[in-house]
Amino acid sequence: MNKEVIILVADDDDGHAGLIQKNLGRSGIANEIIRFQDGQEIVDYLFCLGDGPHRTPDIPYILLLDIRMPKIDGTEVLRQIKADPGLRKMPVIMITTTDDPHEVAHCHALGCNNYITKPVEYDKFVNTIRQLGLFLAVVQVPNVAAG
Amino acid sequence: MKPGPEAMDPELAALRKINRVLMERVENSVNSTGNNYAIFENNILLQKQVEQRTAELEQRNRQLAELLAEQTRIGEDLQASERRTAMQRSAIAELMVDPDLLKGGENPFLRRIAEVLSETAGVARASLWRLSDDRANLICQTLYDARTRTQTCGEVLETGSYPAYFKAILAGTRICAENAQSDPRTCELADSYLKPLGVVSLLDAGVVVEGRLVGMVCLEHVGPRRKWHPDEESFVAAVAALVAQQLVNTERKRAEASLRAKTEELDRYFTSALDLLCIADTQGHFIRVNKEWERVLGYSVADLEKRTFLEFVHPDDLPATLAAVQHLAGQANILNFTNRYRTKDGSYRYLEWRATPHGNLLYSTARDVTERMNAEEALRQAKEAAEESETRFKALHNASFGGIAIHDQGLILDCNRGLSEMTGFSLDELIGMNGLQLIARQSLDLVKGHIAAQYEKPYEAIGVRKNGEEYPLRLEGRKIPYRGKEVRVVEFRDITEQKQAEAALRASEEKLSAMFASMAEMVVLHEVVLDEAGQPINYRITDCNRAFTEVTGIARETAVGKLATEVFGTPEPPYLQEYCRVGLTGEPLHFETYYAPMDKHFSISVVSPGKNRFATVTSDITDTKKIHHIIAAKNKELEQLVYVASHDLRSPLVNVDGYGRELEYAAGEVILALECEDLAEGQLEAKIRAQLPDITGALRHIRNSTRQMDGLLKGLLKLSRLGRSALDIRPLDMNELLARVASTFQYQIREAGADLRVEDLPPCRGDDVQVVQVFANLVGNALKFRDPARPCVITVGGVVEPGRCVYCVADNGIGIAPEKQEKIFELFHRLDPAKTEGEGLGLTIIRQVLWRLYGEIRVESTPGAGSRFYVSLPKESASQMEKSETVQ
Repeated sequence: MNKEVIILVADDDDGHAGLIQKNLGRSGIANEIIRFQDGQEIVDYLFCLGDGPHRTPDIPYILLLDIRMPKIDGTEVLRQIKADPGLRKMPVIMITTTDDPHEVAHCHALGCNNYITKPVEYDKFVNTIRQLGLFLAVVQVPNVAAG
Repeated sequence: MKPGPEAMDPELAALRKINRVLMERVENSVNSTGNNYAIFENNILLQKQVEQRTAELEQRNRQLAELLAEQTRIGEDLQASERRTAMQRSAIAELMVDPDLLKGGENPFLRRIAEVLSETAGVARASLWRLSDDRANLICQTLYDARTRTQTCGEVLETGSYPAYFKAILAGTRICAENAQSDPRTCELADSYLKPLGVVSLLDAGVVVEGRLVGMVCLEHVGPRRKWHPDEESFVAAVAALVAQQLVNTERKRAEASLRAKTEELDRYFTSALDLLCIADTQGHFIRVNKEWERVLGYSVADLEKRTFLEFVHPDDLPATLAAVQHLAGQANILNFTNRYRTKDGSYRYLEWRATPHGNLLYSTARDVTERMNAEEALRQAKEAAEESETRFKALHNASFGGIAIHDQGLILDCNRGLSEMTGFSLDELIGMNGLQLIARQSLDLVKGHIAAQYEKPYEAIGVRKNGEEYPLRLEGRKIPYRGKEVRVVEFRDITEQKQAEAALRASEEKLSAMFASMAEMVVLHEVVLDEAGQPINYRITDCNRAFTEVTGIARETAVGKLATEVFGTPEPPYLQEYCRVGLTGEPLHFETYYAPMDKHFSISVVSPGKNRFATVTSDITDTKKIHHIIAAKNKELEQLVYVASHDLRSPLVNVDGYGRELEYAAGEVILALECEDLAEGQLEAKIRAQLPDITGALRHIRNSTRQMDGLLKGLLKLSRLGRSALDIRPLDMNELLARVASTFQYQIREAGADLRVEDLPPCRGDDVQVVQVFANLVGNALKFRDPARPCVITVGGVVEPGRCVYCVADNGIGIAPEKQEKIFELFHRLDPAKTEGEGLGLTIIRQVLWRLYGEIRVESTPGAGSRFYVSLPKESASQMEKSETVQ
């Protein structure tokens, strides 16, 4: 996988974020991972808003996005990203606890690149993260244009 | 000849000679004075001779003068006569070339004759008379009076009154009466005619046509007597001849005109006759046909007249036709001969002929009798069919399900097997039996009466079988001729089953109608109203049940027979298309609809009980709809719960499971380290210690997750308990209630430096505990989400609206973004969990509580300025109002 790619994880649950990080590492993904606590943080980062950290132009990103988050939920974040000409090409992978078919369909309609349900059983979870690792390894991540 | 002076010359010459001798003698005597006596004597002698001669001469002269006068008179007469004749000639010539002479128009010409006669003959009156055919009267055709220059006519002289005059006329000669009043031929006329008119002389000439006297030409002279000249007689005779000629002409003209009229009439008749008229020759050529032929055969008259009639005759009819022509050629008439003629379109028409020969020509009329022939053919077929049907009737008679009997005053002459089967009597028994024996006693009078009255409609009676069993019958009798007699045929029909079916039907109808009346649904029967084009435009209510009146308030009497537009007072009949489609196609329909004019939801089933009719069964589902609405809201809440269960509850499980496995990894590492024997001092410890942060981290996550899960479960339990707790709804003093709420927040309010203002609140109805919970949550939220930049002010107010009290909890806190204003009521939803504590349950609980108390909550908010939560609850007196409404 492209070394320069930065993986963005937006999940309000610390435990989930930790598990994702650990398991990505165990799958051999050593890319830089940045964690966001809620929808607002990731929006601020991507759209270079507010006082917090902002994304760097010309660095390719991949976003792992939870749906149920405080302030701004994942589907709204996805909508904003896909509505932005500069961010539209960035791969967004929904990682969420619900497999509600309506929500899956909604996210696909909005243009998410993949949709992964957080399994309760650990093995499955690991498996899923590994698959994600494989996915990330083969994906040609385009540079996100300067916003 | 006028006598010329030369005729007198010899006489005068002799006188002059005597005179000259005398003169010489006088001279001689004078000369011989001597001889005086002798001379004297001689003189006296001579004197006497002279005197005698002179007298002679004078007489001769007188005679001569008379002769001269006579000659002059004759010459003048001659001249007058010549003048008259010239006038007469020119008058005749003029009349002869008068165009009216040939035309025969009587009066103008006759008038002119009278006038010309009067002028030419120089008489005061000239007249023309006609002798009536019976010779009884002379009628004046015209009379010209030269003195007044007028024409009159019409005077009548009865010939019987003037026999002598009339005899003279009839004798055929002219009457020239110089003195008409005394002339024996005309004196009869003197007193009555001549004298009054001052007529003195008459000249009459008869008008004779073909040797017969037909009239008179008459000249009547007024003044001194007039002697009629022969030329005048001739003139009058000539005029009379002219008049005769004119009469002949007139007669001829009349005859010609009448002939022409006759011909035209015939021609018209020929062309316009509805019969086919034709003149043909014995060789078979049409000479002339009339217009009607065109209509019947389709060929033009011109076409037909070029051809022979035999060409048109049907080949099968040709021999007979030729024979008929032969018959005609023998100068015999043909009557009612029928053959077929081909028309232009190839079909044949039957023609019935009548023909009369006249030499080589055949005068024929024909009539198109095709219709009649066809009718006769149809009649013949019908007769055959009738004969056949009689045979069939016989068969049917026996095959019929009913009983048939032919009877004469009750006596059965014939009957079928059906009657035998029905009554139980054998055929032999029935024939010859009195049919009234088949009728039960109670119906006998009725049946007898109907037989006597020759009643021909079906009627019901009670029959009796051979075994005495009575049964309902339908009888229908008819008068028929049978074997030359006028008898009755009667059909017996056993209507036991029909009666039973009717009874069953009646019972079922009663049941149905009871059901109809008692149904809770509105049942309305309608018929479709169509326009001229057959398109449904309206429908009419034919019946409705009580429920209809109860729901709509429209009485049955006002609805039945009316159009939908009248009954519902709408410009368009409600659901016209849907209803009429059912009425027209018969396909049932069910639909639910909101009917705005009544603000009601209806579920309508439409069925068609017959063509162009439909029935609607309508349920008022307004309440059901409301409940559906509530259920939909509840379902949404339930879905949220499911979502929470699938997301929020799974979320900590992911952690428990995930970090449990992390612990396993760590334990695995520790075990691996412990099993490794060749580890240096301290290495084991270092390896185990390296696992410790992961282990403690994992344990922390697991503990957090279980706590989180516990919180969620507690929240759900709380919500569940709220939904199930018993309610105690009663009037609430809201001022007192808010005071209690305020007291529980005393500490927090003071801590936050907030200001809680409670205005005077109207009382409402609700459950005390739950309403406290609602306001506690709202005040708690207001404190929790205060804006640190300004002192927190919370105001609780209340107003009364119709049937409700609306309370408002207003704050000056951080506010809520518009897109979040609905989300905040969702279960476990927290806008910013990091900053504030809580379960995400408060507003969910409030909504849940208010649902149960018939209340509502909504929010208005401006981010950065504050929020206003409006809570509405039933008014204190609302329940009493509800009760009174129900009673009404």
